[in-house]
Amino acid sequence: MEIIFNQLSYVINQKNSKEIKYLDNVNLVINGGNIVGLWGENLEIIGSLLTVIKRPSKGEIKLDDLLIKKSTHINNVNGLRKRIGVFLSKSYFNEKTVKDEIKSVMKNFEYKTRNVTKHIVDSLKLVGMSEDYLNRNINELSFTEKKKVELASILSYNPEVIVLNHFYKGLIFRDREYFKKLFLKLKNRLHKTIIVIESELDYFFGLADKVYIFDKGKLIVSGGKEIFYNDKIYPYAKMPKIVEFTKYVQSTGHKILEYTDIKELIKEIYRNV
Amino acid sequence: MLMGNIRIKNLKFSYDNKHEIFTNVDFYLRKGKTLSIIGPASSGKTTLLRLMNGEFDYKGEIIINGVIVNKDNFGALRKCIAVVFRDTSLLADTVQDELKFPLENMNLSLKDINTRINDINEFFSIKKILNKSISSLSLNDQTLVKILSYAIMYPTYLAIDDLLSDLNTRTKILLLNYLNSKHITLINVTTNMEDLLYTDYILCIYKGINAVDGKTLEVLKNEKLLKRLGFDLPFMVDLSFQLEYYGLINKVYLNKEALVKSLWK
Repeated sequence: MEIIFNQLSYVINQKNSKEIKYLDNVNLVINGGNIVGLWGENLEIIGSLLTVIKRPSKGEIKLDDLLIKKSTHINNVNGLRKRIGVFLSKSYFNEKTVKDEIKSVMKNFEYKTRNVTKHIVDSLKLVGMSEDYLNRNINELSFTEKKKVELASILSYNPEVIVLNHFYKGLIFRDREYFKKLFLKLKNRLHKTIIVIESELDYFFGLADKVYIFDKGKLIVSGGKEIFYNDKIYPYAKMPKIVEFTKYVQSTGHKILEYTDIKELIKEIYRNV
Repeated sequence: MLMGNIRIKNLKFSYDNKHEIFTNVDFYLRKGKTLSIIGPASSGKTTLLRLMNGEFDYKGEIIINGVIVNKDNFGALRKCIAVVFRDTSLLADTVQDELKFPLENMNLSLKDINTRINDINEFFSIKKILNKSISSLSLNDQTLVKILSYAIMYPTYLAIDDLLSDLNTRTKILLLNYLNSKHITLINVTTNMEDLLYTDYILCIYKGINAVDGKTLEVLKNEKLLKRLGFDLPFMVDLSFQLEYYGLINKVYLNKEALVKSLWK
């Protein structure tokens, strides 16, 4: 699904002292089958705007040929919501067990399949969980396991677009690598569009086709892999360690190439000393 | 044993008698020595903090100053350790009220309360946000207020569940200095390996036991074990190890200036 933001704004408490601009006149195009990284505060609103839980204050969103504006009527909102999965880092769930939770999400989005249990097991396997979890109480699961269950419940109804709000935060390296591979697989094999919202740039390395940097709702810079070495983003974002190191080496007069992978960096140092 | 040290001995715990979380966890909290707790997903990092917070019954012993904590005296444990959880929510309307709340619970006089708040105000220069509502703050400020609302009670230990990564570097260093100046010992549960370099000791729990336990750099030297458990290393440590492997340097550098100097002599 192609997603276009056209002069999109979302502002609360407009024109009073508590005004917060979530999005401020944003123009962008997310091509279908791409993974994009979004960095900034309050971007969680994008998931709510795409699923028409909230409406734009100004401007419009185009999803294929569907237009979302401040006050247009949308036929079949549920049909739209089925096509977009939003990961929220929930800590509270509707149902008690893992199986019931995923089942209820499937029911909610009218996903029909003959063998429900097998489908749930398959969804769990995708996120790296065994069927032993089926009857576990969700509230007794750890933070990471809850994240995995929520992701499995989204994958279970097979949406075209997946919006991930701070999915990577709090995962250890191995899990981050596992999910990076999973998301790349979903993109390459199933042509999913994935929007990754994070507050650390490191998580976009090797994952995002394009990265967008926001400040106070305004889109400041966007670009491909080369963006991590763009000085324009560092008044806002925290500089990843590898960028900081490479830039320092360059500042001492040694011309080394710019990488975001430590193995490549080490080879580059080896060639240069 | 020094005053204020805590021994956690042969800790055994499970939520439902079926899935055992800890089989034998054994470690010291040393007053004045900050500690990072790491572990793979669902290894029980948060559960360990919940036990330290006195939320569940466990087998094994927690010993403060030689006294075993039990049903009758676990108030001592709560006074000694304050725990900030990830799902702790802020209750008050303004930042000032939020900081006042725990102090009022402690029955401190208004004068003492104001001294402590002014102290924080000067240290972090947060005058601008003091009267703002909490929901209007940025993530960095919200996290800071959340942590400070516990730190302001001046506990001996302050345990934080994976929240430091929400702070920007400047605030993080200010906070560490603040805790240091109030003689509050930090226990930081973390998944962000860069944060390990801020603490003196590391405890790694894995499969119900403490897998590795010791001084930060000593623990990080177990590179193979840590990678097998699924961790990465802090960038400078990782880089140093690999450059050492290629014979380009011969020790671990935590400082990029020194490393570059040693590489390009």
